[in-house]
Amino acid sequence: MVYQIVRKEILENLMSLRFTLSLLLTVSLFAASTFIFVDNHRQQLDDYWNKTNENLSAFRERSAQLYKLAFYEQHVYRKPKLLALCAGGFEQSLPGHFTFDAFAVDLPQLAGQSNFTLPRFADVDWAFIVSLIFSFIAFVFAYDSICGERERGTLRLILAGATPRATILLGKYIGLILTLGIPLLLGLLVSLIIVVTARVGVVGPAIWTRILSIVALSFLYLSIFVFLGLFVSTRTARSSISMATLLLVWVVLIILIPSLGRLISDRLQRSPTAEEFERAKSEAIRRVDNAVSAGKFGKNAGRRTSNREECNPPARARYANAGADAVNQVIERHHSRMVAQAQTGRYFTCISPAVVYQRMSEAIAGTGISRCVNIYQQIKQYQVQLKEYIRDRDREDPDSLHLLFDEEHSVAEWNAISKRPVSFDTVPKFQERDLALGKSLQLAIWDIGLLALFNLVFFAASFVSFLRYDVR
Amino acid sequence: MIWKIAKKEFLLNLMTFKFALGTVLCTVLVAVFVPVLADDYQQRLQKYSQQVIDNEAKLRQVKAYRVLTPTIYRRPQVFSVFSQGLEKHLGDSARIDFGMIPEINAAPAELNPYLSVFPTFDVLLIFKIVMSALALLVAYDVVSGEKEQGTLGLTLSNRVARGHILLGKLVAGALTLAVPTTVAFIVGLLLLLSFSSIDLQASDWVRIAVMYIASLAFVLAVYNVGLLFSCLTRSSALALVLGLFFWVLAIVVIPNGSVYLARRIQPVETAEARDKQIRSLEQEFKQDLSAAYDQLPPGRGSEYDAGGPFDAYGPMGGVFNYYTVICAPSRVESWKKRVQIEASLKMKYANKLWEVERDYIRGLLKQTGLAKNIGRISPTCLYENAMSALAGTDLPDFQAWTATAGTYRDSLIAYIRGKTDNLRSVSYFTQSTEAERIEYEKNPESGRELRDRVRRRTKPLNLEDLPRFTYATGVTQGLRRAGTDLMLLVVFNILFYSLSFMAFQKYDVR
Amino acid sequence: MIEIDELTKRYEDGVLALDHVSYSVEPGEIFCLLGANGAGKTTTINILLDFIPPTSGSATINGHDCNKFPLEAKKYVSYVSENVQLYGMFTARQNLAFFAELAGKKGLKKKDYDDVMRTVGLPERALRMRLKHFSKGMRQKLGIAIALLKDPPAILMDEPTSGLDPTSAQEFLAQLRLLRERGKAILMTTHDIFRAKLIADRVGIMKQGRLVAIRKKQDFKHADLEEIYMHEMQAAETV
Repeated sequence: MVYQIVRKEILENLMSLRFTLSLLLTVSLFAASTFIFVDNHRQQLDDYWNKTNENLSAFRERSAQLYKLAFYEQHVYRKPKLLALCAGGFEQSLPGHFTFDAFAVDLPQLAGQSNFTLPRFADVDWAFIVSLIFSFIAFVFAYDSICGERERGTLRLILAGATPRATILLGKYIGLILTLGIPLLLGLLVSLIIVVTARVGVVGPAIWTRILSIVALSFLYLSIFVFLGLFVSTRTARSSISMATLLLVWVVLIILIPSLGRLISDRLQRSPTAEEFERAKSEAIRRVDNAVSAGKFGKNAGRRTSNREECNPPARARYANAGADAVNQVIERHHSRMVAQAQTGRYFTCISPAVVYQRMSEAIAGTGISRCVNIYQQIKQYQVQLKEYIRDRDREDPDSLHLLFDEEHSVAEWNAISKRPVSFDTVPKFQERDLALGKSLQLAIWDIGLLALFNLVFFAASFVSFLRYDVR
Repeated sequence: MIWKIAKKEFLLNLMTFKFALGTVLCTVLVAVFVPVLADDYQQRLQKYSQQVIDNEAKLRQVKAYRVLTPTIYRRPQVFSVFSQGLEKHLGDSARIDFGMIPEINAAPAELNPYLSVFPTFDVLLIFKIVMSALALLVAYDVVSGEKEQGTLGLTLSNRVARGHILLGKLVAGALTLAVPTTVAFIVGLLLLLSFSSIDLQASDWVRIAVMYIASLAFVLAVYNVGLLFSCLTRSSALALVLGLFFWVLAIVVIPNGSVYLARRIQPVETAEARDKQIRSLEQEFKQDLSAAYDQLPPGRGSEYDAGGPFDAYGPMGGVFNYYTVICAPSRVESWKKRVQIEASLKMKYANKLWEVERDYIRGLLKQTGLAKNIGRISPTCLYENAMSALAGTDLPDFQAWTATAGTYRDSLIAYIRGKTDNLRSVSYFTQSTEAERIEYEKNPESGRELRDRVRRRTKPLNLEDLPRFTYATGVTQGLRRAGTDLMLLVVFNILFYSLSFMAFQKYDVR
Repeated sequence: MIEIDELTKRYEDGVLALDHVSYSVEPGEIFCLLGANGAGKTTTINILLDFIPPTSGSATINGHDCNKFPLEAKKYVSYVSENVQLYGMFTARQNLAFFAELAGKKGLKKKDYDDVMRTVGLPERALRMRLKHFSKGMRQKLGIAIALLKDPPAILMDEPTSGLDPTSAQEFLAQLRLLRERGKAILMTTHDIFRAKLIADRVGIMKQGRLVAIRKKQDFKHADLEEIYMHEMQAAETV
């Protein structure tokens, strides 16, 4: 019984104008965006490797003297990911350039080509096409599923054939999902073919599993809209009212609510201004300076001349380290506040399935804000590693004072850190590690749950509503 | 006849569910969000006023012309509530001094780059999306629906030309859509005016009027497209589907796609390349400066690098922003030479830096211009461009502000040169008298005491005749900038109406 | 009043909908056009209303050619269509007012509306009812009322009795008689032979675009119209 209904639905949909238009629109969007992505990806990869190699070679030069390694300002860039095709995560406008040395990590900066005079719009990636266009198309197909049949008189005929209402609803649902699946899968296929033939990167099994999960979750997302469309279809007698309602629901859910995110984050959690940041830093430095005058670090901690006898290197080291720590704390706090502000905005706009889907696909693809934060934390860990390494190498040098602190001149003058060369191959180098798929899914687990919840709610709603639908 | 048809159509539209839903939704959204946006504007306005006041206060503490480096601020636009444009993305302050052309340091104000994941939110978004959806819903069954009902045939059995019928429908559509537009505008304006710090001038009212007209033109453009679809198909359901696809293309795909395409087709120079150039220029500047200083008679150790105990920092802040409270007469000559070198080198390098920045920004603008032009096929983009030009939140307005800032810098430099005899007078860098300096040279040990005495004696400079920075967003410029897009909207309207006209002449009413 | 002269219509896909049809409808006469679906009856009306152009021949109303001077011709004709939906959200009065205005009637007063409602047999309070609450029969009557308000010399009706219950159909025939008394020329397409027999002054039988027979009322008073109809249908078959 269900099979008959599903078959009828699919055939009917396939022959309609809306199916042709959807297919055309979505496949061309997928194709166009992938072409553009592939082109750009290649260029970005080149750019990335150039900059990273530059950084590495300068780093290598510094290995001629151990202390220079500690003070070398490394530039780390975010590697362009192939999965950005699925969910770009706004990476164009997010920080992608991280500078740090062994003692301090700066605030991340924007990298590469970023045009602040352009209005900020979403990238046309898979997430965009699915969350915006396909949800719309789902409504276009579902809006007259029930009330349209009623208007044509065929609903009465079907129900006269002793088919239970639940079966009809189920059949319609499956039919719609399969109908939507055709342009979706076709578009994805076209996109993947373009990527694979362009040979911009190795599409290994890890990437395939992620892609498959995103595809599966896209169906979960679209299913929400199918249920919602069915629900509204069972609430109205005329299909024109149904379409009007669904159009306006789509507008509010998918366009308006996500835009509120900025407003909400501005109101709930103000991010500090540039002046406040500078002031906080100066304040921190001043406190440390006061501590120096109070003699907290030892005698003559404030003195610095080339004559080691006049100064107190260990005290100076404590002072410099205290200063560096204070500033680092300010930077760290500042950074977490910025991240929190962005994430708050997203929490509150989770009523929109589009926001949930976006966040979830970013988590699985490993892009977006969480990736930036991840890199930042990995850099911190690397810093510790680097310091350890320097300390170890330093211990081997009898001439050095074995003091590790953040002041290049003093360190050089007093031999606080060894000046011996080291083998570059033994130096730890920063390598961004992707999260394992399991961990990515863990990050996304709440979002997946939310999507499932939406599905459940609208399923129940449409079920109950259809059971009471007036067929006459 | 046209009016009769229009009146009938208008009344029918008012009684539909979609009209009620659309109008209510539009009004509710405007009523909810205008206060929030206006409050945000108010806060920004307060911050601006405070900054201007602080700057004035600092000016009253300036004791030497060398440290006169005021900061100018950009007033937030009141209509950013309606169309935020680029206002939150562009800089809002610039420091004025010899060494920096304002365009360079008026960089983007946003400190938190993570917020770029959110799109902008303003009243324009509501209009763009909800009003256009309503326009489509009203238009799609205007002809095909009447045919299905049988009333089209009935109407045509009378002595009425097809052209007149279509014109009547156009008028009715315009009137129908004018209702929610007007209501939304009125509600928005009332709520905006309820804020105490918001005060509208006559020029602002002109702007609002044109914004209103632009909104009507936009909504009518979407209506005309829906009308065309209705005249092309025999079933309303088909017209609706076509209309919906057009809508999603125009509202969602083209605005995003044009930016995406432009970014890919016309890449810009990387920020790192520009930064490298800037850094190397700064290096050059430092080298030139120290080379020039080397040629001067030797000074007191670190005197030329950082302020010593006899110097004082100006209230405006900055590392090298200091003047000398008192010094020996022998030092005066070297000071004089030094400030001359400094001024000319700073200005030379300011120009060089500006060229680098200008080339960079030119590249950015090419990309933005391309995105704008690609987007112009969609009435949404035309509407957005017009609205942000009228609100004064678009890029050209920012450029006009920085240009005015540049002119102000010139007048400030001229003022300083005027007051200090082209930087040759000592008043440029100190207020100590000849007698005091001679006294200091005679008794160097009582230097600090003398310094404190001079400091207590000197009063801040009288800067009442210093030109103040003023900038007002011109209404006529805004109108001119919006002109192209408004005109294109009108053309769009005419084009689609003509196509509908031709289609309707051949429309099969049976 | 209504002149059809050698009217021919061939569609783009080759179908010959009308084949050199000629007849006329005089004032004070009810002419019923009988035929199967697709025989060309509705095509005739569509040409008279200038909804489609003829391939050759002419259709005139009161001497004005319907396709060369459609706006002139439409001054003299009123149209009652098969499935009268009208404007559901408007009241009967609003619907009447709108079409009367289109027809160029100005200054209609309440009395005029009441009169016309009474004439077609609708209660006066129905003036204030919205069309969507009207039954099919009531809507049909309102369709006639609209035609009456215009008060033209010629009336075109397309399958006006289809779907009407016997009482409403009888009332409708009474209306027609009234109109005939007022001297209107009425062209009515139908395949309701029963009613055609009762009301027509002349009957035209169309088959596959050709007018195969015209019979006057006297001719079929005695012989059964059905027999004539069936005979004509089969006769044309054997040709």
